[in-house]
Amino acid sequence: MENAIELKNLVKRFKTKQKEAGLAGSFKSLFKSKYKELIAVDNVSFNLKKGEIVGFIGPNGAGKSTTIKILAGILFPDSGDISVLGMNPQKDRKKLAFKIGCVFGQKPQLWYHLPAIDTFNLFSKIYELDDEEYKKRLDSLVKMFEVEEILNTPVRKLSLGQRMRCEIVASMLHKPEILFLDEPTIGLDIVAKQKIRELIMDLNKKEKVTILLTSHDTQDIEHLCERIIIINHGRVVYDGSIEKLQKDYLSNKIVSVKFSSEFKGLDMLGIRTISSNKYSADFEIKTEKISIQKFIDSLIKKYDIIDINIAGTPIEEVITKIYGEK
Amino acid sequence: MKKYFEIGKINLMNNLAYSSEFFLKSLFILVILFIFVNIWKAAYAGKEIIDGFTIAMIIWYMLMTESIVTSGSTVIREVNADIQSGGVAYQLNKPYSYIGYYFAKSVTYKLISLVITFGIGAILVYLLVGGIKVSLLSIPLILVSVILALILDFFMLLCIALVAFWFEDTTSLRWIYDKILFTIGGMLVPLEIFPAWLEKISAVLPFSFAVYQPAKLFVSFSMARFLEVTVIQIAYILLFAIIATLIYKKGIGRVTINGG
Amino acid sequence: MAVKFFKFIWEYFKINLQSAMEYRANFLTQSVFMILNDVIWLIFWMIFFAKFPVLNAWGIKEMMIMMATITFSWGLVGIFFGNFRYLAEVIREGQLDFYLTLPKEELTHILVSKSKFDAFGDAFFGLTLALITIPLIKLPLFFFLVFNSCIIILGFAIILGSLSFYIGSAVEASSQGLMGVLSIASYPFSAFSGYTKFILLTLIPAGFITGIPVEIIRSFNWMQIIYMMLCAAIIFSLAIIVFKKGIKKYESGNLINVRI
Repeated sequence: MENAIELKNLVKRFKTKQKEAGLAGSFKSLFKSKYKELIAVDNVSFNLKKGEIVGFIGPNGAGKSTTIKILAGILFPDSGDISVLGMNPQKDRKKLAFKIGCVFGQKPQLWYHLPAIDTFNLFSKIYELDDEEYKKRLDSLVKMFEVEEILNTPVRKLSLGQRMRCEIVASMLHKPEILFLDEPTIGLDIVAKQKIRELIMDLNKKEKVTILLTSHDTQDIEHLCERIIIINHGRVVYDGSIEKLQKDYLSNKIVSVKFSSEFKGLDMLGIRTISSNKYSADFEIKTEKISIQKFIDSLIKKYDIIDINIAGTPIEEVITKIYGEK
Repeated sequence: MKKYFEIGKINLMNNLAYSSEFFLKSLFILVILFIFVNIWKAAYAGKEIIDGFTIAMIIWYMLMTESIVTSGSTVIREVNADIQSGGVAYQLNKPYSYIGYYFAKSVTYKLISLVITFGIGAILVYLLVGGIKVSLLSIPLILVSVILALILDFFMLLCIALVAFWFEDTTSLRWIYDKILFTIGGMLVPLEIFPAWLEKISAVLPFSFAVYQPAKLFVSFSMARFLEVTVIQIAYILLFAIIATLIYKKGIGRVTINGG
Repeated sequence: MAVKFFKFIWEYFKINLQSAMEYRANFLTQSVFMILNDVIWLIFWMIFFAKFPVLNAWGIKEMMIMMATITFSWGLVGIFFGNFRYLAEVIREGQLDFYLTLPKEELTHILVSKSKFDAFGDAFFGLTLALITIPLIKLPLFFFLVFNSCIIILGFAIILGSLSFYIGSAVEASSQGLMGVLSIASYPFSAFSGYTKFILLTLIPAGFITGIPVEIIRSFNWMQIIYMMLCAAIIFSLAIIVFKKGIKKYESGNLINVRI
């Protein structure tokens, strides 16, 4: 089977209890319950090929976590056809669990007070791994993720980056075919993020494990994924190569500058002045057309700069743009 | 002052959202009362009065002590969690006193819980053993005594919870505290049942002022005893409030030095 | 399959024990405090029975056997299935997701993934008391009855904890409920008669946890043994059903407090 995941017309609704504000509202809700229906996943369809690394992004509440939970078998959909590794997560949850790995950035799997090795050993029992094979597997993963030194340190003493590396090792011990990575770089500093990205890349190359990655850090997506699925308000608004996305949106930079002299405008190719005041301005740079270096060079020639801040296009803006285009 | 009222109000709304909790609490008090009606009937074995208590009095006594003791909220667990997680440090920059916050939260919860469970329990007790003589005029005074008892219990528990600054887990201490309340605090049996030497000791310790004293006043009121008890309750409240504040200050100092 | 099941429990027990050794001080404090706790309770009853020597044919000896039964049973469950008191919390906090992504049966997994330190104290106290008060020949019987009681306790805990699937926040309720059963099972069962006794042998099976076992040890009775085993089987089956139904509800995402 070519596809690791096949999703067709997935729908999931939630009912949330509504309560009026204030004391009177609390009393009212004791007797009558009002429910509001929320469509979390609205007809989502996509397929993931074996060995793909796909980025799954969207603003908070867009339906990402809900979709992943459904794929992992934690949540049941209202309707739709789901096939994960040829199985229905709802029916074959335990069978499927032997073949998938999950790393939720916000909810650790490692036992906090014990060294990581203890959790690894526990997992080997949970996943019913053969002792010999487990030892070999552990060795190779430990080397790959460079965690030999910290194997016997209690997890609570590890840095966030070290913890995350161990989390991923734990999730890979049983050689899963699919890895769900939910915010794996959250809270990490730049160096640690780079490291994790490299390791995930390696993992995908060596093990051919299919990876579905969600992240709020677009750099994660940029570095790891060839394909990206953007979800907003429960709908897929973009499903395609990252190249196209990069070309159109992600390679834009927003530069905010503060000047010591009065700003009188800047006219350059590939530069759009978003807003400006007497002593400050925000620019949108199309780095495809002009490099940051060139831009700053030209800017300095004309003005004296007090402060400069360079940022990527926020994902929300990208999504709004795409959504707007749709 | 107003902000504490707001805290109490929000807490009230929060608690009403979980009304099922109160009902279940009442259910279990009813069960315990059932049990003790049986135990006391067996113990009395026909006698009318033992140590100044009739069976009716002892059951009403117990309804009061049970309502007081089970009114407890999750304060200890929350304070424990706060200290464990270091979240207590985040409370430092809030514009209200940490202790004051929990005081408002806890005492409003306890009062509501007590009123509800006592009210429901009273119906059952009346059906089981009939009523007892309680003078109308003494009721507000009894209420004062009960509220002071709740406040005293809060501060004693708080001292225990704050020990979490030094010990990982204070729930074991809490269990012992509960057992002490059950026994020499007078929740299960009035102090009169104890051998004389134990009765004297228990009557002096703070625990009986959080349980036995207000309940005894309820079933057999005397102005003289009320005044005496109130004075001692206030004294103990001040004592434990001061201890709690000292522990808190010392503990907070520790947190900020070690960075949580 | 049964072998796998027990192996799983054993593996988890080992890792839990490792955790205990990692926190030796904490482990010792909690278990010692629990022993202290139990001793206070024992002394209380000794005082009570000193004043009222006989409660419907039970004396202090029967009370001690009862205490041994409850503490040993409660301790064993706490050691091997330490999360039994926190099922409601696990559900409410969304920790269930973690267990659902793993290839093991969720209920067992949740229960065994924790071992309460204080439970070791309970078990030690209970076992010691049993060895002191029960003649050697009757010990095997005692262990069998304890095993039965453990199943009842576990079943009841699962039912209460699973309420969290159906009622918004059943955490308080389930913990109260469980403590309620524990309390009831800690009182002299002989005091009960009539309707109360009936309830304690049906709805709230506290009677089967301690009351009946003591009777059986006093004078062996096949009928009572069969009733006990029946009770355990019924409660446990009910527990599994309630939990499985609840988890289906959870997975369809229709909990009021689901964290998306």
